[in-house]
Formats: sequence, C-alpha cells, structure tokens
Amino acid sequence: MFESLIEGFYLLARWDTFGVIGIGLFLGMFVGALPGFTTVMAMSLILPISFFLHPLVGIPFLIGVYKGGIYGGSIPAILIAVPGTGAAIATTMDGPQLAQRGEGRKALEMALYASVFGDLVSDVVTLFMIAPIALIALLVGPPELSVIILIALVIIAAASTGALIKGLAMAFFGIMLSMIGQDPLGFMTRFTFGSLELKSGIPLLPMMIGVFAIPEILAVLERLAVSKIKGTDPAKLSSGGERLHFHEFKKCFKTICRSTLIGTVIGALPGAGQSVAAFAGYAAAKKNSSHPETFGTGEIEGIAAAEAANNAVNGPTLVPLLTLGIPGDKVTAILLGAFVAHNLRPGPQLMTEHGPLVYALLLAMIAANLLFLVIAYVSIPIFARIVTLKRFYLIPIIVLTAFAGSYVFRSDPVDLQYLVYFGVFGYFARKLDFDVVPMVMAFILAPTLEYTIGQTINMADGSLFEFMFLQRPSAGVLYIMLFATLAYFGFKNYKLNQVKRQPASLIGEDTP
Amino acid sequence: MTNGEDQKYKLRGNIEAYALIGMMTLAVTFYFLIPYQIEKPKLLFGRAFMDMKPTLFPTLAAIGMFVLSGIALVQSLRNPLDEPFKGLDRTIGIQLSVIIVMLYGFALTFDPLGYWISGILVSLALSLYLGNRNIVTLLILSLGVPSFIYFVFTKLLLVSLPEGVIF
Repeated sequence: MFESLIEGFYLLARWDTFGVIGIGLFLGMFVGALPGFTTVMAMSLILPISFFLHPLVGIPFLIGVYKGGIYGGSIPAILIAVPGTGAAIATTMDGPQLAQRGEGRKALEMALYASVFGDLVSDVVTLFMIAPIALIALLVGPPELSVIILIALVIIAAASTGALIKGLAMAFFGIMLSMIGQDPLGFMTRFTFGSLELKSGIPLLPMMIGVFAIPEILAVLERLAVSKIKGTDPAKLSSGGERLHFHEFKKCFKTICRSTLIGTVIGALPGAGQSVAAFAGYAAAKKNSSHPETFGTGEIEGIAAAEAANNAVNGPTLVPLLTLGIPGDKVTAILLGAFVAHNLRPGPQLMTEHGPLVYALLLAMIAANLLFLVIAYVSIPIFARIVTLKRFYLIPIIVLTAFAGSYVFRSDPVDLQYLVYFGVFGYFARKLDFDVVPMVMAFILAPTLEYTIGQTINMADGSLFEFMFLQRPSAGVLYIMLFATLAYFGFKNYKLNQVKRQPASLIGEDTP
Repeated sequence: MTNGEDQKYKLRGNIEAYALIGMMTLAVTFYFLIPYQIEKPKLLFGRAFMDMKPTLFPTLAAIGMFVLSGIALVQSLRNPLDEPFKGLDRTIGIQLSVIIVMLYGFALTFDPLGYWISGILVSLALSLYLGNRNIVTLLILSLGVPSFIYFVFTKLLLVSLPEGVIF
C-alpha cells in the first residue's frame, strides 16, 4: 500500500493536473451557483473532454467540477434562498436569514470552511480505507459480485425520487436497453433488427448527456417561462457584511466534525447522496444543540452542519466504485464512464493493477480541497454576482458543448439523435416521477451482471442452489441480504405510498 | 389516498398510468421478440461456450419489467401522481416544443452543414427565441461560442468535429 501511495505522489507531480483541477473547481462553482444547472449536468458535459486527456488530467478535471459544484450550490441557497444544487437544500434553512441580516459574507465563508473541512477529512479517510476494502473485494467472485450488483440496484432504486417499484422498473428498462447489440458472454447479436448501427449497442455517452443535461435545460426554460408569466423574481440579498471570525468557526467545530462523520458514513452507501447527508447532519446538529430553537432562523451552525455533511460524501462515494466497480450515484456513474474510457475498469482488480494511479487520484482529491480553499475564498464575490445571470447566455453554450461532446466519442451523427431522444425521454420521466438514475446504473452494470450470472451458472454445474448456499456461503448470505433489503424498502415504500404523491420539483432534490 | 372511496381507481387523465401501460407493452413486445432477435449460440464440439442460455437474461428482464410496471400501475391507479404537468400551460408547452425541434434540427444539420455553421445557427436561434435582443451579446454568443468550442475540440483535444461546407 505505502509503495503505491508514494508512487502516487510521484505520478501526481505534474502541473497540468493542478491546472485542470483549478479550472474544474472554477467551472463547478460557476455552474453550482446558477440555480437550475446542476453539477451532474456540468460533469456530463465535461466527460467527453476528459476522454481525450491523460487519466491523471481528465479524471481530476471531473473531480474539480464535482467539488466546486457542491459548494457552488450553497451560494444561491444563502443569497437568494434558491438552492443551486439539490445538495444545498438544507443550507436554505438558515442561509437566507443570515443574508437578510447583512451577514451573507459570513454565511458564505462558514459554508466554505465547513465544506473544505468535511471534504478534506472524508478524502483522507477514503485514502486509508480504500486498500483494506480492496483486499476484501479481491475475495469477491462472480457469484458474490452478481448479488452485490443486485443489492446496489435495489438501494439505488429505493433512493430514487419516485417510488421503489418505479425505480426498479426503470432499472429493468435500463437492462433491456443494454441488451441491444451483443451479449457479453458469447458475443451474439441481439435486438438489432438487422441494423448495423445497433450492433454496437446504444452509446452510453449520448444517453448520459441526454438524460442528465438536456432535461436540466428544458426545466430551466420551463421555470423561466413560469416566472415570466407569474412575474416572480427572487429577492436579491446581500453577499457583503461582516467576515467570519475564528471564534465562530471554533464554536461550530464540534458540529462540523459530527457532520463530517455523518457524511462520510452516508457517502459510502450507494444511492444515499449529498441531500440525505446534509439533512442528517443538520438534524443531528439541531438535536445536539443547546439552542435548537434558533435553527431555521439564521443559525450559522446550521450552515456549518449541512455543508460539512454534504461535502463529506464526496470521498467515500468513490469507495464502492473503485473497489467493486459499482457506482453509487449519478456522479460516480459519470466517473465510471471516465475510468472505462481510459481502460481503467473499476473493480476488485483495479487496486492491484493500477494502485499508484488510484492513489494519485485520491491524492489529487485532497490537493483539490486545498486549492479550492484559495480559489473559492478569492472568487466568492464574483460568484455571488452570477447567481442571477440571464439564462439565454448560458443555454446556447450548454447545448453546443453537449452536442460536440456527444459526437466526438464515436464521430457518428446518429449519436446526436440519441442525445435528443434521451433528453426528451429524461424530461418526461422527471415530470412523471420516474428517476433515470436506476436506468443509467442498470444500463452500465447489466453486462457485468449478465456475465457474472453466466459464470456462476457455469461454476454451479447444474446445481445452482446447492452451489450458492453450500459451496459459496458468502453468496448465500448476500442473497439473504438482497431479499431483506427488498423487504425493508418494499415495506417503507408501501407506507410512503399511503400519502398523497407530488411530482418531482424542477430542481431534482437528489441532484448534486 | 387522493380520491374518495367512491373513486378507487383512476385511469382517465392519469399520464403516469399511461406511461406504465406503455412500459408493460414494451416488456411484452420484447418478450415475444426474444426467439427472433437473439442469435443461436455458437457451438464447439457440439457444446455451447456457456451453460446459461442466451435467452435467459432477456426473458428475466422482460418478465421483471412487466411485473414491476404492473405493480406500479396498480399503485398509480389507486393513488395517482398529483398533477405532474402542473404549471405547464399551452404557451410553455409550445415554447418547450420549439426548443426540442431546434435541438433536433441541430442534430440533423450537424454533419451536413458542419459544427461551426450549424452551431452558429442554433445558438443564434436559441438566444433570440429566449429573449436576447442585444446585438453585441448575440454576435459574441453565436459566433464566439461555436468558434471557441470548435477550437477546444479540434486544436486542443485533437478530435474532429464535422467540417461541413466552410472548413
């Protein structure tokens, strides 16, 4: 481990990595600061660019966008009470009141320091946690991996914005889409209807950009039109005022540490995400406070709690991806795309085959936090101004980048039609409360799932049940866990289904 | 429950339910296409490479989607989603449709006209349609942005974008 870590240090010693991290952080903050435009959208637009860069440049670029975006979302949450990203919803509980009292700058600084602390600590934890978990992951064979993928899909479906059953149905839809082309076992053609274009399957990149970026554009346009009709305009609040004092940060330090721990644990679970962590951190801070009544009325500790927790998710969310090859959310699904494009297949073998590179990437995440502290501190006043930037400046830029990015991977103009189809599909899916995340995850994981099931059947040699429960008890235990997970979330879903259902909001509440 | 006991199941106007019926139909179609759309496995000395039949996984996927969409349909009929298109009136609907048509038009002209020209046209159209009436920003956006993206992709990342009729 330590040799790989030291090699990782040497690999990271290149100026272009730090250069793109800086650009990524800036871009991420920019997008995050614009209500309606999410980090996921920015990452999906940057993804094709990262394919043509060295892995130690392209992947840190995406990581920079991710980190910058999560913090960027807190700027409009504090200043105009509109969360820039789903992760910043909890920040709107106290931020706007502080801005109204003329303490906007203080709130933004607390959000920055809490975010950097939470992110940094969780990244260090991830750095030291990854090797032992990867060692355990090496014991995972095809029977166990197939069940782990199924458990991950159930959890992702349960964490989706719609109901569990709809999430699972979307996952099956993703599996069906992944079957178009060739099967991963015998490379036989299937569901191509004689079309040569379909033989290589549905391309992942236009699908991802389509379902993640295009619906955001349409939702922003819809909201623009609604606000024009109703004549609504969010009140502009002050980003100026008093700076944060050290004693105020010190007073909140215990809360920041607690939220960091909460975010780190939640981050390692697939599907939970930043919003859940932020609310859990906020609730824990309120519960443990000697003055809980001040929460929700402009309490600076509330900002510290939410921001430390949502940023602490960033590091551990990579653990299931890097060790098992299972992306836990939209962000890690995009990162998986970047890894695969660079011939780095996340999973149990990644640490043994590319250990130094993985460490270099984790170290890049730590370095990104330190760089972020400087960039964000200097640029807070700039981003505070772009919160209300006109959308017609940005939408053409996003559309042109999305189309160029979707085209360059295969240089096939048909991919652009896929982009539009998936974009429209994603928009209506969001309206009808069908979450596209389980579909994309299942689309990515289905070939591995099919392959591991095929291998398990081969290994079982005709007696699957006996093999699973007697020869591979770990797989048997995992199957019991799968059914327990299904039963738990099924029951929870049944209870939730008793209340009146509301459609998804314009900003997806789970969207970082 | 949103509806009273007298109206237990609601299909009329329930778009979510229609979508779920569509998903069920898709699953059934997929299931019946399996025998015709999956190649026969290659044999080596009369034996297939893998013990798993190539039809097994697609069959499970089709059945899974059908059953889950069916359960979701029952849930939707009993407890429909509350106004999924709330606030979307005819004007907004038309605006969104125009934007989608513009995007599709961009997809179709991308290759024959080239990235630069089609990019200029679409950014000009989008900016104008979204209300930008400032000539300077219109020019900067519609000429500058496609040129900048073209430069980044072709000169910095060294990948090709369709050249079309100009380059």
